[in-house]
Amino acid sequence: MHKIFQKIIIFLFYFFAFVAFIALSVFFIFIFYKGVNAFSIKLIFDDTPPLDALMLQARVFNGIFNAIVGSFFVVFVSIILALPLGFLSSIYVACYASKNVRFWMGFLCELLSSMPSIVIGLFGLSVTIFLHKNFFAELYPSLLISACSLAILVIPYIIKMTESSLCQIPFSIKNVGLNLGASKTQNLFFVQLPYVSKEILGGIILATGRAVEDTAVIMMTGAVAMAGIPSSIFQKYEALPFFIYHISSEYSSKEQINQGFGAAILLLGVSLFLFATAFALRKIISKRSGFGI
Amino acid sequence: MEFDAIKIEVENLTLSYGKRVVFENLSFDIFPRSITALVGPSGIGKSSFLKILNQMIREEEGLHVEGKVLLHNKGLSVDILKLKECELPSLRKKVLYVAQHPDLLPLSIYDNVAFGLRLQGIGKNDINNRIEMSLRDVFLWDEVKERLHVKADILSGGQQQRLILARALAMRPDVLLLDEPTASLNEELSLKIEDLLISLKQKMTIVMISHFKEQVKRVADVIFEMRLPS
Amino acid sequence: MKFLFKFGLVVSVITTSSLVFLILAFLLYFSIPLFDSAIFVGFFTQKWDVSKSLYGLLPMILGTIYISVLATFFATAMSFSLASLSEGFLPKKIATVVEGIIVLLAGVPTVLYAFVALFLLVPLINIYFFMGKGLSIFTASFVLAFVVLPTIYVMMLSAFRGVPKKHIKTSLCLGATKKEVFFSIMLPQAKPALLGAIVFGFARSVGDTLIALMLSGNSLHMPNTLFDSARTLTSHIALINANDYESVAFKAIFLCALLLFIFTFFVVATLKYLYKEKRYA
Repeated sequence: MHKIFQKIIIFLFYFFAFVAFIALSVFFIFIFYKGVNAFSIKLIFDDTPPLDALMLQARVFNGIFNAIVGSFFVVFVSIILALPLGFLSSIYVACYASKNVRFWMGFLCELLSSMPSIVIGLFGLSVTIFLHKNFFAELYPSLLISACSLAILVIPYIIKMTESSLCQIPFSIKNVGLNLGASKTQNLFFVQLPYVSKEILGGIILATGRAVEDTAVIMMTGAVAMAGIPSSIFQKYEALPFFIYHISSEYSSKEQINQGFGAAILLLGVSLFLFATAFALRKIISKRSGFGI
Repeated sequence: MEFDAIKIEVENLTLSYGKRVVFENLSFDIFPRSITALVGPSGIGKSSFLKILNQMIREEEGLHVEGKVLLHNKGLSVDILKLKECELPSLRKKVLYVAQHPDLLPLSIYDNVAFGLRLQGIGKNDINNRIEMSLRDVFLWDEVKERLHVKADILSGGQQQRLILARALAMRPDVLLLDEPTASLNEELSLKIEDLLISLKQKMTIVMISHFKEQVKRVADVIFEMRLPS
Repeated sequence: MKFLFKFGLVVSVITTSSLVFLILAFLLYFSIPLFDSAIFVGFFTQKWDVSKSLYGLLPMILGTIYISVLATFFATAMSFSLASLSEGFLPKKIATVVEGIIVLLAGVPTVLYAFVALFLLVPLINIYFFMGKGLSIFTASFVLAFVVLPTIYVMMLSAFRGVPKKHIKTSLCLGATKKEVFFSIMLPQAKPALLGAIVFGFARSVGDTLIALMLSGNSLHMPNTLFDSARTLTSHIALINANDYESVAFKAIFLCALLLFIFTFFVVATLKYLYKEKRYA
């Protein structure tokens, strides 16, 4: 009886794994088929000459170029904002904090990283409304607000990755500098940080991947369907994931759907590339022997 | 109960770890219903040799075994190095390895012994009988009969070592591989266990590792000494 | 220089640790006007109909529960199967490949699952199975399952790997088969961590916006069956038309967010209590 029960369970394992495998294959085949067919230079730049568009000489009206540029800028700014904050916080937590502080920081990070991204988006929006009403009447949802909100989204990732890598430095290496008479700060900069540089890079890449794909935050804080290329960080902007969402709800022709698939395959490519890089870095790290820089 | 008598024939057995050769070209026979003692300096591969006999060596990474180990049983010979992965559990139920450091499962005393018996599909009454018998065999019954259902890790080192011996005995193996079975026992208990081993060899083939010269002289029928190449 | 560095450390720690409190403060700041009004109970009992001045969040709360419970169920079935197979049954080489693929899946943007499902799964259901019921709780939760699958899978893998190797070896040594090792040693010992993984997956599926927003139809009716259209708390926030910042409808959004905040807090606190140590998901 027991044996039969186990056999059924194992059969179910294979069955569910098979279902997952089939569904995922269909997903990938479909998106690659549609995306690769739809993908072309025209899709990105429409009828504008690519070089002119890249030099910002001519405006692209019907391509996804604006969305690509918008996505790039919003992610870039958010990482610039998140990096120093996350990095310094994790150094403090890993090297200087007491056990209590470490526990609470861990809890807060965990809470922040588990927070639904739409809540963070709403937070960004509400801060904007608050500031708009009380202090800066000119402030509206914009690229800067989105970048700040995305930064909040990725800060816990950067903290967790950096802190765990700093904590996991082998004991033999951790205090080499101290034994040679270095101060705690010197030891940190000349021994520990070089040792974990690859982990930190991996953390930044993962954070970038997270920021690129997130849609809920930017749709609350300033991403719109038509904006062109923003001339300052206080303007509204277009972004790839929002473009895909927008197409799905308001498409009116087959061409637009094709555009959506083109954008989808591009976004998938970027995300998977970032993720695979971070993954490969981790593999390299796990094989490292000695003082790997 | 009829016990099978298994003869083991080792031919040209070589064990290597990466490029380092642990031992080379071992060839000898282990006779049925006898006690073979392995002696030699530590690190020479005695424990690994025992693990080859029940093929737990396949669970270690980076170790490479060559040669032949033939089990002769009722006219049938099997080369255990060539057994398929799925045939290993039945080999391990016959050829039982008792580790040097007690490897208890995170279960109660009772369940630790019962675990192997349940794997053999033995009924509940029979399990209870066998547990009592094997615990009596290793002189543990009186010490634990009141607390069979508490976690096994509260036992002392010596008790744990006897518990894993009892766990093996309860399964009634054909070949018993013992890795320093008395290392953490006091002298009196060691002698009792030695007597037990001598009586057990009526039923099974025993291969043991021991560092005690007196013990080896007393119980072993065949002494196999492994030496470093000079 | 050194002083500047230390100053930077302290400032960033204070900033990052206050983020959560800032979020909470803003959610409260906007939703507190609702607390003392007579309509507060209405938020949890009524329907949502702005034209009749009804602002009940009950349909969204139910929608969230239905979709995320079902999604967690699907995702658990699949990721538990995959994790068990790759830790307990499959040959090592295949298991490594399976692990690699699923870990990479975590990098697929959520919006893409919804986008593909919208043009593939929804028409399929519409045409062949349930006429016009393509956008439903079922569709959303099925697709959502694939979003949380990698998270649960990775946590379950580490749960299985947390089982001490020596226990597994001991039982192999006693002649246990792979199957017996899995059912009698690995499963009982990994159980608490496996449950933690499921709870975490549930939290993830409650927090996701895009799948429900694009696939569940967003209707404001009380959901009754699996193939009803429904709206989740998250998509209700996303669908807000923020023209009048003072309206009750707009402030009710913050109540939704507050509910999500409280839910997340309890999940994280529970997991923290269960694991009693730092967990790096």
